[in-house]
Amino acid sequence: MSQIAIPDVELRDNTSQRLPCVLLLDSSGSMGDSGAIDELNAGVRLLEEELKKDDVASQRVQLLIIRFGENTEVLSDWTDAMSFSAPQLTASGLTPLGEAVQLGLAKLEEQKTRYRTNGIAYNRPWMLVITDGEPTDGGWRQAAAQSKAAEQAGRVIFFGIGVGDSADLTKLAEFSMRKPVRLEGLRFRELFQWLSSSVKSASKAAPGSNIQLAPPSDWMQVSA
Amino acid sequence: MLSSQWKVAGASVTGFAHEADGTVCQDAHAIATTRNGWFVAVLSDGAGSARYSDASARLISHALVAQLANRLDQDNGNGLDETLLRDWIGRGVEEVRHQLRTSTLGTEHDLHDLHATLLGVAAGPNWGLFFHIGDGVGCATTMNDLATSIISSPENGEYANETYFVTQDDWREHLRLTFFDSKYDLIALMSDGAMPFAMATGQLMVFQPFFEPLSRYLAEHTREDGERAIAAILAKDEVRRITGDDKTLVWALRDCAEA
Repeated sequence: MSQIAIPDVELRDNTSQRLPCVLLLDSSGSMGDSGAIDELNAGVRLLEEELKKDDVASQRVQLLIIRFGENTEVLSDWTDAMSFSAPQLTASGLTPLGEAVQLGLAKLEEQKTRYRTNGIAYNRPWMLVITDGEPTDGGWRQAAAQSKAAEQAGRVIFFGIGVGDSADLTKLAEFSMRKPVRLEGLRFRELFQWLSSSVKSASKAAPGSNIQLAPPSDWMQVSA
Repeated sequence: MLSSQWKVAGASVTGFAHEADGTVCQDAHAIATTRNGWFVAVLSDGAGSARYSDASARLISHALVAQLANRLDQDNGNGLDETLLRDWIGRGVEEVRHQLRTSTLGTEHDLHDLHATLLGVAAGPNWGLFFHIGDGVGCATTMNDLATSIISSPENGEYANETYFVTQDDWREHLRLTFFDSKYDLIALMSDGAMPFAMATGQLMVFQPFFEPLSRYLAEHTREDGERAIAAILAKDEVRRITGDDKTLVWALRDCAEA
């Protein structure tokens, strides 16, 4: 049977839905001492590579990177995965996690407004926090309540990840409905592999479906 | 005597996401035309997570089209008005829901295993309407002015991957009817998976560089060739890249012929 080709028909993706994804990364001094910061940087580079390899995810996933340490700042503002360039973090300072979360939530709402203004559909946004300590800023509890409420209202999906033995999972737990997990050693590569697979699935999620997340077994620490 | 007849074509294609995991196509559609100049079509998109939604989508589309076509066929042009058609659609949906519940699918399974959307159109010599629950888009336009159209928009929750189904208990609250007059003689129904490349950004009109060449082709070829062409486009690699969803496109053009 011959391939029927319709002349002149243009195939372009006009209206791709977006999956906004915020990464809040701890760049406090201790992350440098343990060597975690280098592994973290490598992990973010892996995320960049993996997402770029996937035709759908590279168009749909939008990334925002915020680091918190000496201060809190947007390291990489909203960008399509296809144009994303992994930033390089350096470690110094304390851990203003509360500020970072509030900044992340505010940037998310701004982006949603932009989507709505332009008629762009979007999936439920993801927010991932990676920290090796405990929040040191005064208003962190308020930020935690804000983030938990946002998740309860369905405005964001929150993942808290603790690195190393000093990561305070109890405090991290206040930010979300989901229990935070501890990274096994410095397995950032595996974590970001999992994140890129999960985010790829989420970016393709068909209407009415649940997202099948890849099992986190190879990077998540499980207590005996 | 002037009678309007419709040129029609439609295809549903499995998306690569389903091909990859062995799931069958969960999109289905049905088309009918009547001797007195009506065109009826229904598209149904089964929910990804619902186990039997492929069978459900097929039942919904075929049963509802058969019912409506049957009733419209008996219209002699005098008694049919919007109110009557609204009533037929409501009763048609109830009948289809009843069939789902009492079919072998329904007795063993709650309707949630059968969740599927509903996007339909009935268009006659003088007017037409879309009836719509959930996502996908219905578009009524003209060959000369594709930018001017009447649209039945998708209804999603806040998020792109949430929608509403004809199988929900509160389906009546989500049933939307959109009327258009006879000026609009070019009609398309698309499931969610076909929208990214067939509709322009903002979903308020068709994407002309896609839709115009497609329509010219379909207007000039047989239904069989037309449907093969649609299926070929929906299965193209470039389109597969855009979305792994199942895709359906139903197309119709009214032409007036002297009998």
